[in-house]
Amino acid sequence: MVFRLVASEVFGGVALLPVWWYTRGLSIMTEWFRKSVKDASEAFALGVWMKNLFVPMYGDNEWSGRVISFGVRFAMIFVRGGAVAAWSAVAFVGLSLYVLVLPAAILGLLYHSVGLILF
Amino acid sequence: MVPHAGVLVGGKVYVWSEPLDEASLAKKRLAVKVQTGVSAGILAAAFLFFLWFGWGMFLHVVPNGMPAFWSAALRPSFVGLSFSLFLLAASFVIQRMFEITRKKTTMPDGTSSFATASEDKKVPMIESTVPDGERVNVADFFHADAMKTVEDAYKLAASFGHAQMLPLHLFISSLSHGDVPVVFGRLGLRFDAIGDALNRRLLSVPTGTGPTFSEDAEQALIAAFANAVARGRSTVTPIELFYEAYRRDSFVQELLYDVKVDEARLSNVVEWIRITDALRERYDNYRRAAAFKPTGPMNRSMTAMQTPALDSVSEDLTAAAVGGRLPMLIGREAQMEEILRVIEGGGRSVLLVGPEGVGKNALISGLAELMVREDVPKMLQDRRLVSVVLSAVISGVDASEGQQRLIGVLNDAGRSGNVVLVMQNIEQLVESSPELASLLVDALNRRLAFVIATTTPEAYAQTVERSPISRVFEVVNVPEPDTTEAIRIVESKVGAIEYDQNVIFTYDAIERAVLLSDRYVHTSYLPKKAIGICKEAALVAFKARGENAIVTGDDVEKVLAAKTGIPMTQVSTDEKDKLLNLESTIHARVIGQDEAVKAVSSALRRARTELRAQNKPISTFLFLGPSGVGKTALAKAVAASYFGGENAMLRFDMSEYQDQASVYRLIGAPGGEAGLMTEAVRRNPFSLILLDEFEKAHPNILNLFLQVFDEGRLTDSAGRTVDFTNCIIIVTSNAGSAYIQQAVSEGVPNDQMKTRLIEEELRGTYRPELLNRFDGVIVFHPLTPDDVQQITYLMIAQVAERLEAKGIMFRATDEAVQELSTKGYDPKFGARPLRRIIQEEVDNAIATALLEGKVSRRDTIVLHHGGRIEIEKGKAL
Repeated sequence: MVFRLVASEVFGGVALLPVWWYTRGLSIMTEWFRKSVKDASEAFALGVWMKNLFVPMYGDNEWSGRVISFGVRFAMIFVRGGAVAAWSAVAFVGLSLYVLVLPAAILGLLYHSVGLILF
Repeated sequence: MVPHAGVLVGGKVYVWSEPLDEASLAKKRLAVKVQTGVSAGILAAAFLFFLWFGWGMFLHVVPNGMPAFWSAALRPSFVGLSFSLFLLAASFVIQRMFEITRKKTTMPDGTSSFATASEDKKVPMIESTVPDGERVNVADFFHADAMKTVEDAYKLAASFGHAQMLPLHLFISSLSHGDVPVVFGRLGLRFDAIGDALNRRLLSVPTGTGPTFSEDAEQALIAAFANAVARGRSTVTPIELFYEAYRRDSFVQELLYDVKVDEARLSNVVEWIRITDALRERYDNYRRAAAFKPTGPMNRSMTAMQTPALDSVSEDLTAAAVGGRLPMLIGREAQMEEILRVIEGGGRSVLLVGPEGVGKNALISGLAELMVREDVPKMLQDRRLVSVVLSAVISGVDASEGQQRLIGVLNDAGRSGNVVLVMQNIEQLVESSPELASLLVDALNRRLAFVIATTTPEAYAQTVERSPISRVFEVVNVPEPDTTEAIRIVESKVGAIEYDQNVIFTYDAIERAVLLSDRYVHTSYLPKKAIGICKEAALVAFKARGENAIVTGDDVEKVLAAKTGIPMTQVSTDEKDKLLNLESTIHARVIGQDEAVKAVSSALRRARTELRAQNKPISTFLFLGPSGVGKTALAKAVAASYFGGENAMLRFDMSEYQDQASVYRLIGAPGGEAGLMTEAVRRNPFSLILLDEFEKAHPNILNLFLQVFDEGRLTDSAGRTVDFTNCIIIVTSNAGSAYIQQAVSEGVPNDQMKTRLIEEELRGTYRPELLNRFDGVIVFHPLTPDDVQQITYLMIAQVAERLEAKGIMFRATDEAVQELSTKGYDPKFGARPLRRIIQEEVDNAIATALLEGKVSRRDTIVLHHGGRIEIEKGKAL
C-alpha cells in the first residue's frame, strides 16, 4: 500500500508534471503576469493620465494652460507608459522562463546524461 | 459516499460526498504522510543538486571564466547535468508549493462590502433530497481544522461503538478546534459545566456496527457550508460546524439553555468571532487599496488645485482613512446603499438625519473607506472627502466675515473639482445666519460643490426643514440600530477597548451594555451609549482586578446603576429582606391603610424581580380619601424606605398647575426653560412621583398623563423623550371624600364603595379613560381615634429623635399622648391638626425649657397630662 502510494506520488508526479506545468501551472503564471501588468498600470496611473489627456492640469483653463497641460500629460504618458512597459517586460521574462524551464530541464538532462554516458 | 441531501448555490449542487469510514481515514492519513515525505525528498534532492551544481561551477567554471561556462553548458558535462537535475527538482517543488498554497476551490460569492453584521443575509436552503445538477463536494471547502473536526467526530462515535455519527459527535469534537474554545470563553462558560451531561448523553446513544453517517450530521455539514457562503467566508471552519451541530441537536440546545445560553446569544457570539476575522481580512485588503490613494490636495489625474481657504477650516477624511485613523463601518448596508443611490441617481447633496450617536459619522467614515478603495459611483472616484469644521467657519467673526470664509470654502471646493464636502451638524450654519444658508443653497444649486451633511431629527424639524437648505438636500434617515445590530456593532468595537484597557470582555457584558442601556438610558442612542458603558466597565474591571480582568455583565450593571441610580444588579440578601419586609418598614411610618401599603409594596417587588411590563411606569396608583389620612405620608414612607430618602420623591402640588399655561411648567415651553417634571425625571429616572391633589390640575394636564400612564414616556418641549418606565407614580385626590366618609360610617363594603366611586362620584372629576389607566385605585379610610393615637406615638418618637441629636432624652406619658390625640383628631381633616397641636403644646414647651437653660445634655424631658413638662436630671459625669 505504502509502496503503491509512494510510486504513484513520485512516478505519477513525474508523468503528470508536464501536463500540470502547461495547464494549471501556466494558467497560474498567466494570471500572475496579467496582475503584474495591471498593478504596474495602476501604480503609474496610466489609465487616469490617458483619460485626462485633454483635461487641463491644476484647473488652469486658459488656452496656454491647456496647451502646456497637453504637452506635460503627453510626456508623462510617454514616461509612465515606458515604466509600465519595462515592468511588463520583466514580468514577461518571468513568464517566458516559466514556459521554457521544464523543456530546458528535460532536454538538458537527456543531453548531458546521454552525452556523458556515450562520450 | 452517496449523498442524501444538498444545497443549490449559483446553479450548482453542493453535497457531502467525502468518504468517511475507518479505511478511508487510514488511507487519507497515509496519503498525507506519503505526500509530505515525497515533498521533503524532492526538496532535499533539489538542494543537493544545487550544491552539486555549485561545487562543479566552483571547481571548473569559475577559475576558467566564460569559455568554461559555455563549454559546460553546450557540451555534455556534470555541471550541465547537475543544473538540469536541479531545474527538474525545482519544477517539482514549484508545482507542489503552488498546489499546497492555492485554494482548491473558491467559495460561491454573495455578500456586500460591509457584510459582517447584516440580518439580511440569506442562508441557502438545504434540500433533503439531492437536486439535479452539477455536484460539488462541500468537503473541498472545509478548512483543515474543520476536516479534523469531522474526522474526530467520526472517531468519537467509533470509540463509543455508536451505530451512527450524530450532530452530537460533531458538536463535541468541534469544542477543541479552531475558534470554538474562544466562543466558550466569550460566553464565560467552562467545559466542565457541560462535560458530565455530554458524557451521560454519549453513553445513552444506541450502539451498533458502523458508525454510519446520520442524515442530521450530513445536513449539519452541508448547512455549515451554506452558512459560510451566506457570510462571505473564504472557507468552512469549525465554528460553522459547531453552530450547525448545536442547531440540530435538541439535547445540546437544552444543555446550553441550562447554562443560560440560548440560540440568539450563541449566534451573536459566533458572529462576534466572525466579525473579528472579517475585519482583519477587510483591513488587509483595504491597506493594499489605500496605497494608491493620494493623501494631499492633488488627485491622481492632477486636475485639482490648491485649496488654502478650505484647508484652514477642514479635515481631509480620505487622508485620515488612508492613514488608518477612521473607524471601520459595521452594518448600515441599507443606509450606505441609499447614500450611493442618491449620489448616483441625480448627484444631489445628501443630508443624513439621525439622533446623536447612532452612527452618522461612522457612515461618513465608511464612505471615506469606499472612496479610498475607489469602490464608489463615478462622481466620487478620484476625489477626496473633506470635513468642514462649521464652528471654525462661523465662530468668532461677524456675519460678513463668516460669509467670506464660506465663500472661500465653496470656491476652493468648486475650482478644485475633486472635493466632496462633509458638513456635520448643518443646523449650526442655518442658526448662525440665514445668509450663510442661502450661500450654500446657491452653491449647491449651481453644482459648485457636493455636500454630505448631518443633523439630528430635532434640529431638522426645528431649523433645517424650515430653511431653504432642505430643498437642495436629499434626506437619508439614519435610525437607531435595533439591539441585535447594536450588539454586533459593539462586538466590532470591543477589540479596541480590550486592547486599550488590557481586559477581556464576555458576551454577557456586551449584551447587557446594549439591552440595559436601551432600557434605562434615554439621553443618548445606541450604539454610542453602549460603547461608552463598555469603556467604563472595562476601566472598572481593570481597576478592581488588574490586567487581563474578565469584564462581566455585573461590571456593566454596576456602571449603569451608578449612572442612572436604578438598582439593576442581582437582588442581594439585604435587599431581599428589605423587599420582603417592606410592609412592616412602611408601617413604622404609616398607621393603618393596609390595602394601600400592600399594593405599593407588591408593585416594588414585581418591579425588582422584572415581572412587570417594561413599557409602562412601574405602577400608577390613585389614592383617594379625605385629608390627613396618610396619602402623602405613605408616598413619603415608600420614598424613604426604598428610594433612598424622602428627597428621592418628586412631588408636584397640582393646585399650582390650574391654568392652561402650566402645562409648559411641567414639560417646558418651546424654546424656553426645561419642564419641571420632565427635567426632574430625566435626571432621576428611578424615582417616586407624587402628584398631590390631582383633581385641581388643568384638564390638559390630565390628558398629558394619559400618555405617561399608558406608554411610560413623554416628549418635552425640546423634543426629547423622557422615560417614566422606572417611576412609581402616586396620584392623590380628595375627590369623593364626602362619599367615602359617609360610606365608611354606614359600613359599606370596600369593593362596593370603590365601584361607586369610580362609576359615579369621580365621573365629574376624571375621565373614565384616565381612571382605567391606573394600576390601582386605593381608598384611604378615615382614621379612627385608635389610629390617631398610634400616629401621636409616632410623632412623639419623631420629637424624641430630634432631641436625641442634642443629647437630650424625651418621652411622653400615655395620658399625655391620649390627650394630644384627642385634641389633634378632627373627623374632617384626619390627623392633620395633630402636627399643629404637637408643635404648639410639645415643641413650644421644650423650646422654652431649652432657652431658659433648664435642660442640659443627658437630661430627660417627660411630657405629662395637661402639657406639663418635667425634667429628670441625668447623672453627672
